[in-house]
Amino acid sequence: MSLLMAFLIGGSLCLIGQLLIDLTKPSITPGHVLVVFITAGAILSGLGLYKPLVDIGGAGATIPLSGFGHLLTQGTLKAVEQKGLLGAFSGGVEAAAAGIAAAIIFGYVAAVIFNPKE
Amino acid sequence: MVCRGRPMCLPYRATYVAIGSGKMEVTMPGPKKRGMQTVVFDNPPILASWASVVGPKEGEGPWGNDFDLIIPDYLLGEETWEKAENQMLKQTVEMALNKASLQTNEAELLLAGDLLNQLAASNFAAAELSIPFLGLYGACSTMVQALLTGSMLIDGGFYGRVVAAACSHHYSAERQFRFPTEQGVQKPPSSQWTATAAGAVVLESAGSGPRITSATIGRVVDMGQSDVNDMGSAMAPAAADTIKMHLQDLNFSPDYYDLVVTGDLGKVGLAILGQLLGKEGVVPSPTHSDCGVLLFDEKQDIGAGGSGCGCCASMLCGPLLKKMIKAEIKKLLLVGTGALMSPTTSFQGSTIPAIAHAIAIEY
Amino acid sequence: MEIPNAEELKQAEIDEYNSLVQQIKPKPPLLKHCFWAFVVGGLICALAQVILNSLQAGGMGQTNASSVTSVIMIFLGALLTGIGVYDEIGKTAGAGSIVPITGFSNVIVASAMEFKREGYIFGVGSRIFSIAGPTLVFGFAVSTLIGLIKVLFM
Repeated sequence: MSLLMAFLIGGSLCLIGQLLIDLTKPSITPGHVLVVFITAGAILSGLGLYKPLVDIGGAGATIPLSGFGHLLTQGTLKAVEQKGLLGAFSGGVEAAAAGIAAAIIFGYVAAVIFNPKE
Repeated sequence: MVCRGRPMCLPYRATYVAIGSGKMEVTMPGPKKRGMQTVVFDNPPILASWASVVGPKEGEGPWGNDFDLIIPDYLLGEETWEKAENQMLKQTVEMALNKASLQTNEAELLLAGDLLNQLAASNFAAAELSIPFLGLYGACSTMVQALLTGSMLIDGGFYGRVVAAACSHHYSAERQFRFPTEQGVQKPPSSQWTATAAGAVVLESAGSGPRITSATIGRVVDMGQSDVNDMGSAMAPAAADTIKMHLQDLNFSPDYYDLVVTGDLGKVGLAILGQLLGKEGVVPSPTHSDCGVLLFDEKQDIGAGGSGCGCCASMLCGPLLKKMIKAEIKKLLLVGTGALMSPTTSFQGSTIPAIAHAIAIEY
Repeated sequence: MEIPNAEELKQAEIDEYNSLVQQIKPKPPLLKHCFWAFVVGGLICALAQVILNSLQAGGMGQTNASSVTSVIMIFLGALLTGIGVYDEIGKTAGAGSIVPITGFSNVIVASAMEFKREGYIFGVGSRIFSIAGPTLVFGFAVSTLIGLIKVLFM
């Protein structure tokens, strides 16, 4: 069941992304759409509206980039409760630490090992 | 007599042309200039020899056998795409000279260009070739720009021999203008595939072979297009403008040439060009086509067609000149088209200005 | 009659040309794109769910399991990019391969791989975030802003 919901919710979020890419002006690139996703995820999370989506969709809501925005906001809010003002600055980075470090390390290693293929 | 609101004393040979909203433009033709933008050569420079080199994908296209060399991979044994591109250009120039039994030090002058920042490929190729060199940038119209400049230098009596060349490399262009190779990108149907190809021509003041009889230098035309994945729409108006001026300046009818070929408008740009020329009543007959459309097969997943300096250069120095030698085409008008944007201006939201230059080759 | 000035004439020409372009320019196959974006995106998320479920079944807490799943997905994205498969998937899948976190990994790795020819320090080092950078900047900026708003209301 959780698999089906992950598939449906994840697929739907990607579908929204595809519509944004194809139906907007050419100057709105996929890169812009990703910024919209992470920002929307962060804002919805702050309004308490993203958590219900995570409860239903599981990975379907956390894996798309909007889920990363949710992660950042939740981390920030928790850190604010614990540390006050300092938490506003440290919370997001702390929550995303594993993912960002992984991206950097794997990125660097892949660059060393692999070459762009034709 | 008044010109642009100021009284003028007019020289004997001045020509007046009314343009649109009541403005007058005065042109001062030299002895070889016709009309607004076209030059005619008293001593048409000869295409003494030529060579074309293409990449694997181009080699699998419909004209594979008509190119002199199909390189086996995109790196050519070098470490970077850029170094491979400059090797490709160097080898193409050497091949063209060899075909005319010439050494590189007999070349006199090299006019070449490519798409890379600061003409990296051409500069390094020229360094290895050690021929006096002028680098040219006309985006994808560079080959025609080189040919017409070389022709004017020869017909003007400055040089007896000039080598004109241009090249492009798919991966070096993508890296500079668009995305890294391994990024998952979904290209829209109007996008084009930058060709990995090079072409070089040895022009001489005497001898036998196809001749360049006239050339039209285009104006930059900007019709407000800003989609970097649709160069064809940006360039078609420039191509239409130049073709129209060429025919008008020389007083030719649209059926004068056996074939009018644009550089790399692609399917979309070519269709738009047909419409634009139709409105002016100058649709070339019997036929007009485009190197970008011709270079690849539909099945090769190239969107609207090929593009890049090498597209036009290799099609000319491969299939098109081959057809001229076989007398299948006697009069050819080659219209190189270039989209003059840079990654910086695109990011800043500017439109894409374009240019088109034409040369007439007759045999 | 008012004679239009040069700018208005030019704009009218451009507008007319734009409608010609829109008539001729092929539209992207929207249904096909949406179908594949949905399917591939859904499958990637379903795969992540499988990983998440197995980790939690193995006793890991929710937050840690979620983090580890993200790291695994980032690794998979990097691997597929390295062996040259991710860009092939992306051609068909579109947003289905861009929106999930594997897509984030793909742009980072693709940039790093491409620019290593400009050196391992400045080539890879400075280009690694050239495309992913904006998402991180905006993600951090917005979440920090939300945190600051909360501080104000506390």
